[in-house]
Amino acid sequence: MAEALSQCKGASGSQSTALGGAAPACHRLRSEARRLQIDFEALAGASPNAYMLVDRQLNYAWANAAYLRTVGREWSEIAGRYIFDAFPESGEPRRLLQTSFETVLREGRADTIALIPYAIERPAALGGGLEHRWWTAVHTPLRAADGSVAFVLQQTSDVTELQHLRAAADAAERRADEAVAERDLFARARELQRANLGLLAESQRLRRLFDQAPGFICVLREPTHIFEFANAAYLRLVGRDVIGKSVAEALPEVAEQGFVQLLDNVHASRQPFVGRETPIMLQREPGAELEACFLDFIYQPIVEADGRVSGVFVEGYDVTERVRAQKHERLLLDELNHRVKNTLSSVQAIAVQTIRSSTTLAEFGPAFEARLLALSQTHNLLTARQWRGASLSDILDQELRPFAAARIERDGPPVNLPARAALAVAMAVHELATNAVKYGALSNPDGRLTLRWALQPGDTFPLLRLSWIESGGPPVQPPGRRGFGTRLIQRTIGGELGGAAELDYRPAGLAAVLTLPLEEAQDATWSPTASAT
Amino acid sequence: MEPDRLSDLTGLRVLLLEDEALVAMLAESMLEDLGCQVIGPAMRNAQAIALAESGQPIDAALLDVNVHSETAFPAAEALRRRGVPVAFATGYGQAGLPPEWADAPTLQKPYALDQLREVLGTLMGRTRA
Repeated sequence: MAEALSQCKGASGSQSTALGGAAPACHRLRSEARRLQIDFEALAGASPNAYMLVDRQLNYAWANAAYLRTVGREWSEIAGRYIFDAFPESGEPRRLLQTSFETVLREGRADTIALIPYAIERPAALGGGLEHRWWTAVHTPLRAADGSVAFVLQQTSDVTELQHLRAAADAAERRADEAVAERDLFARARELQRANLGLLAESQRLRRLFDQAPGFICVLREPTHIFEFANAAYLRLVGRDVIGKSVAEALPEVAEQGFVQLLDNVHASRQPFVGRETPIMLQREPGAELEACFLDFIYQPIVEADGRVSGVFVEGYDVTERVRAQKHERLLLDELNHRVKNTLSSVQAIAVQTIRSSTTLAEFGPAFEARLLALSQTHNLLTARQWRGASLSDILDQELRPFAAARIERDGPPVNLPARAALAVAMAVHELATNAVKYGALSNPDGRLTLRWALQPGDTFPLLRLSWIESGGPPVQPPGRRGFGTRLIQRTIGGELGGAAELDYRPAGLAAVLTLPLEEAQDATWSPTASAT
Repeated sequence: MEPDRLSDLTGLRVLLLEDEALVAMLAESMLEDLGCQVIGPAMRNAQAIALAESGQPIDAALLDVNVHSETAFPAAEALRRRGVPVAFATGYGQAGLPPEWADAPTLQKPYALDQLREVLGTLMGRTRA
């Protein structure tokens, strides 16, 4: 448009109408006219009313003969000029006129100035000097194909002329009466304009309030839901310019999700619609992926004084963060419940199995307590690292702390055990240590325990090979039946972890070799679908 | 169906899928206490599917829902194809089941022997009915 207008500005020539000279260069203007189905030239030539067009920068784009006659200018004198350069004025009248133009450009609706005093310079041929004159003006937006306001059409009347006509009358009394009537007319018009200005100020104040409101607000007009107003929060939500467009045009993805249907219903039924935490897919930036949002909102029908529904007032909040936080909280609670239930299952298993392998309550108590503590302390180690794992050394410390360090030889690199492996190794080491204290190398003062471990490459995950060699204890006899400890080690290391546990009850002492893959379980993420039951 | 007929589970061949060794050992002893013969226990989904497809006779299955970061539903499908009735054990309760399995009997962990007996009875009652 700017390009087209610069062409318009460059062209002038016709003395009678601006159009004659400017039109050949104004293809865009003409096509706009065609689009608007206006026979521009005929209109311009025939209308006794004064019309002119300014562009968005308030530069003259076109004026008809009546306008040029009224303001006493040739088109060549004002073509392409800034209106306030062509007709300088600095006081209240200028502010009034400028505000009206800006209102039309911003809001895309017509604006009327009932009465405006605006002095214009008299042409030199007529004696020059400033001539004080009174005007009324109607400013109407003209839109480009993309819906934006490209021009403002001014229809103006010089109402000073009334006075001139009356001045020519010769009946003194009548003239006096008319002068009174005229004063009344002007007084009323002035009053109206003052009231309009008050309304304008009030509406601008409300507009600012709406614009700065934390929630999103927009006003949709007509049954096709044309955006008349949208505040800053609304524009942030939808991430694009919407004014002057219909909802279906401006937000096609929203139309597809049934929101236009909802608006239609509100329009037709005159009943408001309230949405709570309503999911919606929005394209927040041009070309971006659709983004899931949640909105609290109301569609309120705008009912006019005559009972007609003229549009829909939309107000609401983007509650996406709140909904996400609630979902996350529910997820965490589910996960917590799940973990508690699993832990209780483990405790139940330990209790039942310990009862079965105990002959007396005195035997059961300490054994149960020790197993429970082994499990609990390993939970502590894992919790300290957000369940990402626990160090093998810490686990060994925890189980072997009661015994003199001199009797236990430990040799191996630092190893971080993932949660599942940490729990399995802790329980296995606990069972081996318990067995050593009861029957093996730690049951007398002289026995020794040698722990060696190393990491080796595995198929998918690194393998930990941990050997537990007892010596110096009483002569060992293989257990008659597989006790709980042995079965637990086989099941956890062999079954659960998919590794291997070899327990060799040599007479010189137990030699156990545990081989286990250090599988980085996904259940450290605390998501219920990824965790083990 | 008389109650004691329902509760007679002797000789029932029950496939057990449970990835936590301690809990698997407990379930195994409970099933043995009920006179059942334990098939498995499978500790991975793939093991349960292999057992289901091995052709060996299976009367019922008790499946832990979440197994090593997976769900047991593929194994449940394989068993259903063979006509084996399936019950689930889970820390989430019935709400954790997808719609196609919402009707399956579910044990909320931890569970007692009587609850296990009842669920297996329900499973067998359904097949016989």
